[in-house]
Amino acid sequence: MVARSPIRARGPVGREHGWEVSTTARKGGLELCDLTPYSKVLVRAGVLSKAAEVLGCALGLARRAPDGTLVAGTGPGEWLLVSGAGTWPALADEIGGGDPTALTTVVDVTHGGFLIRLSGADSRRVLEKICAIDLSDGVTPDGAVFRSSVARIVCDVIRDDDGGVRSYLLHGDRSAGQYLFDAVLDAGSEFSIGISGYREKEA
Amino acid sequence: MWRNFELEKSYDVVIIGAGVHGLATAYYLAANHGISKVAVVDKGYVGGGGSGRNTAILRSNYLTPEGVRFYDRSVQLYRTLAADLNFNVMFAPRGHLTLAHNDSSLRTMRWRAEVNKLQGVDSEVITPEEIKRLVPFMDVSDDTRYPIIGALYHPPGGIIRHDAVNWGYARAGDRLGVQIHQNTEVTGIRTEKGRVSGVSTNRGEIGAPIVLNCTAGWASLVSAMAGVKLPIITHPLQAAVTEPVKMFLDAVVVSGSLHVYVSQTDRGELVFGASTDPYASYSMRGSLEFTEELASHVLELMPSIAKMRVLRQWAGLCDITPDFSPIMGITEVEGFLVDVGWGTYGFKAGPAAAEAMAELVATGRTPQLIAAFDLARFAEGRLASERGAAAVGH
Amino acid sequence: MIRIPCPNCGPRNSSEFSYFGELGSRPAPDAVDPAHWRHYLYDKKNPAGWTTEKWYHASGCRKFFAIERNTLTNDVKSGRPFGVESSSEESS
Ligand SMILES: Cc1cc2nc3c(=O)[nH]c(=O)nc-3n(C[C@H](O)[C@H](O)[C@H](O)COP(=O)(O)OP(=O)(O)OC[C@H]3O[C@@H](n4cnc5c(N)ncnc54)[C@H](O)[C@@H]3O)c2cc1C
Ligand SMILES: [Zn+2]
Repeated sequence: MVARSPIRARGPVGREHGWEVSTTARKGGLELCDLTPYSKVLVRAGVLSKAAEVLGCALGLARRAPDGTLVAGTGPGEWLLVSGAGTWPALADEIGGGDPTALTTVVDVTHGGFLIRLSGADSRRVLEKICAIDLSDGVTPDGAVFRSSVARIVCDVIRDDDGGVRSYLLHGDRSAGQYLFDAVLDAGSEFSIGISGYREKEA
Repeated sequence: MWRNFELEKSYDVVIIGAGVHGLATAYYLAANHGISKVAVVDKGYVGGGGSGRNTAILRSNYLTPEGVRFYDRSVQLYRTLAADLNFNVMFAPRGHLTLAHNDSSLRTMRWRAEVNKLQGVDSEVITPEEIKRLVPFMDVSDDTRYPIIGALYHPPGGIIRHDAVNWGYARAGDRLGVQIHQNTEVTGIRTEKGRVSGVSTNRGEIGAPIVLNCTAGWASLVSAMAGVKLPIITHPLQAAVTEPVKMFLDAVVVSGSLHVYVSQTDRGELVFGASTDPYASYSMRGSLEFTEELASHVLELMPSIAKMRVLRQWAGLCDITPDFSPIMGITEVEGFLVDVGWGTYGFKAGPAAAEAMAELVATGRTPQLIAAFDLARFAEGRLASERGAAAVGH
Repeated sequence: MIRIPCPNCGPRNSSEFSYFGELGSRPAPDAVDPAHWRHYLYDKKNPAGWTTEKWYHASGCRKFFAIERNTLTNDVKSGRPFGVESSSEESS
């Protein structure tokens, strides 16, 4: 059994945690990378619940938990947890317990969505072509999260700079993955965008 | 073309709205029934509403038998209209194609074709090869995003010069004694004991035992003056034309799935339309997203026109009903009649609706042709759904 | 493109939303006769001017909310989540 991203792997192909991934070398500069194998967990809970407190992240913001999990406030009472492929975020276990009357759901959506990373100094200019949100540092600084239409696909967008380099994670429904990947490449062609192979969690 | 008059104290009939419906009703009242003490009042100018803003498509290939019979009567009247009014209305029955891009629309088209044939209306489902013969510039290949798998072909459909129709009816009505009052806004409707007695306007009071509401996009506001509620929501509808080029497109082409339709005028301009703006509004401002979307969809159908330039775009107001059928006839206020709910498809209906409304005014009886389109159908749960035939193709 | 102020996400292009029309109060289905129910379903005020209406943020927070919009100018005022009353809302 092998798991596949909705985005066709380009270049040489290898296996990581049961997923078929591209092993193309990292390109550097403006690059687009398919990170779909990362673990993605969707949490829904009351905004004032114990779970919300543990997650510690308001709507529109992201933070990193001690184990490296990225916690993003993607909607009112809705969070996306992203951690390395084959892992399960420790936070997801912490929020379930406690109050049995609280309506909290924790769902593994790893295989239901795509996750891609667009990074490089020009990533803002690429994204601006296909998304109407203000991407200036004043409005969406590092750690900002929003859900909006990107190339007409509904995406969770997380500004998650990578060692001082501007970077965006885009997460959305699996069926739109290949289309969105191609749309971002198309938008980035005038800035010499390149594809980078899969890499393990940076953190 | 027509004369200006001082407002008189009273008329036998006051018609609100100088679009094709109001003007044609006045004309048929005088021509068919000898009732010529009629005033048509409009807050703006003749044809300033939808009647001067539409894309002038005529057809009768609707979905319900009532709808098909009704619209077919209108196409018949349009055929001889130039002679009847002694005014060239430039009707060009060039054929009308509604494209299917999926099985469900093809199914609705087969259904429509059968209903049409039963009512004696020329209508059939044709293949992509036959479409290509009619419209050589169309991309009927399999490698488009939404391949074309067939079409409903309706040879009697076509286009007309909308201004000429409005002016022709206005001029012919004027010759028979009808008075057209432009810049005359109705601000109130007077009733006494459940019966209409006249209207108030910015130019003064007018008495009338019969008042007819023909105000399309503004119909809810005018009916509310008489205390009559309507199941209508006003949505803007936009259209655009390109620069003129040599004739290359004969038929009218509609694609419901792509939300677009196109025809070429006798002057050579391509006329484009789409579905209504997605929210209710009385604003007639055009929008950039309309043109962008339109262009992307039109180019799916005809990639070769990519270099053509859009000359102008505009919007008009459409009075949308829950079942995409009009509302014609009496209301709970005696003497207050409506001919509204014309949505995105009412220009083609002008002659038949007006002929029937004139008969209703003259005889006091609702003609069979429009009986299914009464206002009471909503409260009584007898909708006449034309959604499948009128939501995009106007 | 007009912008709709989502109470959760802030102002966004109207293309991100679905429009659900005038806000009216739904009668209890078992307490009204069919004619009244149809009146609720079909008859609209369709006002020219300020009105309160329901929108759904399909491409964003996926929540329903109410805004006030002027149908003559398309100007909009504050959005508010459902259940929060506004002074200008009429009961009908
Ligand atoms: C872009 C566009 C494309 C269309 N394409 C087609 C098509 O291809 N085929 C088709 O059949 N139909 C089409 N339609 C629909 C068609 O234009 C209308 O249904 C039809 O013109 C309605 O005619 P009418 O006479 O009822 O109203 P209108 O022509 O709209 O006239 C109503 C009049 O009422 C007046 N009025 C309003 N309030 C008052 C008041 N208080 N006092 C006095 N006067 C008042 C207005 O000034 C206006 O002149 C289209 C519409 C648009 C906007
Ligand atoms: Zn929102």
